[in-house]
Amino acid sequence: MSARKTGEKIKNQKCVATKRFVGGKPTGAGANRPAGGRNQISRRNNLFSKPKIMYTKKVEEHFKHPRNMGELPNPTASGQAGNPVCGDIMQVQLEIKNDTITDAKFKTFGCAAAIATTSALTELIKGKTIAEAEKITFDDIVEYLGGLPPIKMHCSQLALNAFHEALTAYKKKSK
Amino acid sequence: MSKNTSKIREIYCDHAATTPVSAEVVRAMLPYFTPKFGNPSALHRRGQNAKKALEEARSRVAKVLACEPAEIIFTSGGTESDNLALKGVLEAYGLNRKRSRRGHLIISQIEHHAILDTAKYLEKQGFKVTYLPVDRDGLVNPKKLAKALRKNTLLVSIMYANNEVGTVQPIEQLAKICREKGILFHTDAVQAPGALPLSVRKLNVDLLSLSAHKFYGPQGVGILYVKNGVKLQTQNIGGGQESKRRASTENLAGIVGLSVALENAEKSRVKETARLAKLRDKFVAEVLRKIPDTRFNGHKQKRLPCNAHLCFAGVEGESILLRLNAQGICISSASACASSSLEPSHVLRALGLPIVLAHGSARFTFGKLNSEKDIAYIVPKLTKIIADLRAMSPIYEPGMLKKLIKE
Repeated sequence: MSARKTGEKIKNQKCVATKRFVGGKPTGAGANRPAGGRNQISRRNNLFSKPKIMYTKKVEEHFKHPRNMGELPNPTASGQAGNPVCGDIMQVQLEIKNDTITDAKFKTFGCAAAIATTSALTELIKGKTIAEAEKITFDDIVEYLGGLPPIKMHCSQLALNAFHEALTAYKKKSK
Repeated sequence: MSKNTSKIREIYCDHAATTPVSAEVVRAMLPYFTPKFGNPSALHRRGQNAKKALEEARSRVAKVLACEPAEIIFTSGGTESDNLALKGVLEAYGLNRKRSRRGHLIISQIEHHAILDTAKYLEKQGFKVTYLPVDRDGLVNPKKLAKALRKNTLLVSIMYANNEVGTVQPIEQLAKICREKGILFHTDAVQAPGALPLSVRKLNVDLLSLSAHKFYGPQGVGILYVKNGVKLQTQNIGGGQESKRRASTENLAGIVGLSVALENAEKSRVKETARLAKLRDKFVAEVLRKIPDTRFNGHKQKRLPCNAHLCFAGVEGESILLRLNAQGICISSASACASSSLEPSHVLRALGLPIVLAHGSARFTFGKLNSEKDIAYIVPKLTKIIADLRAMSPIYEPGMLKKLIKE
């Protein structure tokens, strides 16, 4: 998205955080999945028991040294998610050969969690077939990173949205 | 990442958040924990000695503010002072015989949350509140204030200097407008000590809040100046301390510390202001020269000498903050991600900055701990961090700032 478009777009946008994740626990969601469904983070843990923002070592590592950052010269498909009003925009580019993701690159405008989750996502999907990669969930990314603070949960959702958008574009193209 | 086990140099550039307690202040405070401990309300010797120390501290503070000692109320900090001022005045003047709440309050849109949220609370209680807009530099227009005044306006509260962007309001002028109409005026002057003159006579204000930890005093102690004759509904009810205006056993060591810190801040004000302004100007000039698409926010002249508030187009504030933190540089950001609200701060929105730009904010506030050496250390690190983050940003392109904001 060009900066001009961004500037025009933001006037009509509102920041809607995925509130349902706020108040969840900042631990590996996959390790202890609540009965409520894979995309629901448990509310059982006390909100006040953890500092407001604290990142795991893995998140910090991916934030400081993001994997697969940049753009592909000839992407098979690319997708973008997020909204400049919320301060997060993720772009994911894929190179797909024989239904396998041979390479993936990302670019992110956003906070540390946003950068780390897109970086983690590209690591998770690389080398996987489309069918396999499609199964990757929000929880898998959070688990891979060793957890995210509750307020940051929506970031990992956005990384996945960008990836799914790229897949949709690819499927449309290959039809 | 190079596993650098050697100690990283720490550079503290967040003096608007809090300051270290100066050695002289600590020395002044220590005896009041022990051996000179005592409850100023007690009638025995120890209590009376404590009372004496308390009143001496009050006199020292009164001297700096150019007011009577009896006009000083010691509180637990800026937030309590602001709460007491707003709630105290509105409840003292705005409750009629049937205890229904009537009256009007005016604040600016860029007030600290201690004022803003108290005003919102009072609005819920039934009072009317006007939130005065500011221009793009963060200044309140005196004409707009004059227009906003109503027959039933009880209080106007406008901050002396903004904690985020550093803009200094023309308080004398604003307060004069209110005084001419007989309307009470409060100012949250928490950021002012050591940078701006504090004489309440000159400022024409009726109430003024201060917090010790912003001027090299201890945390947990503050002041509310209340002009003689101004009625105040007590909020802390109990033992009747502070002339029945704020009950609670006095934080004696803290109050002594505050008084010494305030004296020192006033003593070194002119010199330190010149030094910090020079440091800040050098920093801003270098950053603007080396990092394109950067905006220096707030009023360029009417601002706190320590404050450099910058927006970097195309990157996000929390990322800047954490990357600087990894290099040992402590700053603050008003971006959405650095707070819990997921929206950029109300101050940047009130200034009318485009939201994308507001997300890339970084506040550097210099103080006693900083020297020119620090600037030389920060600038190249910051330049690299911004370049790295922009390389990663899908929305950044050179010249982005001009497209986002027309000046």
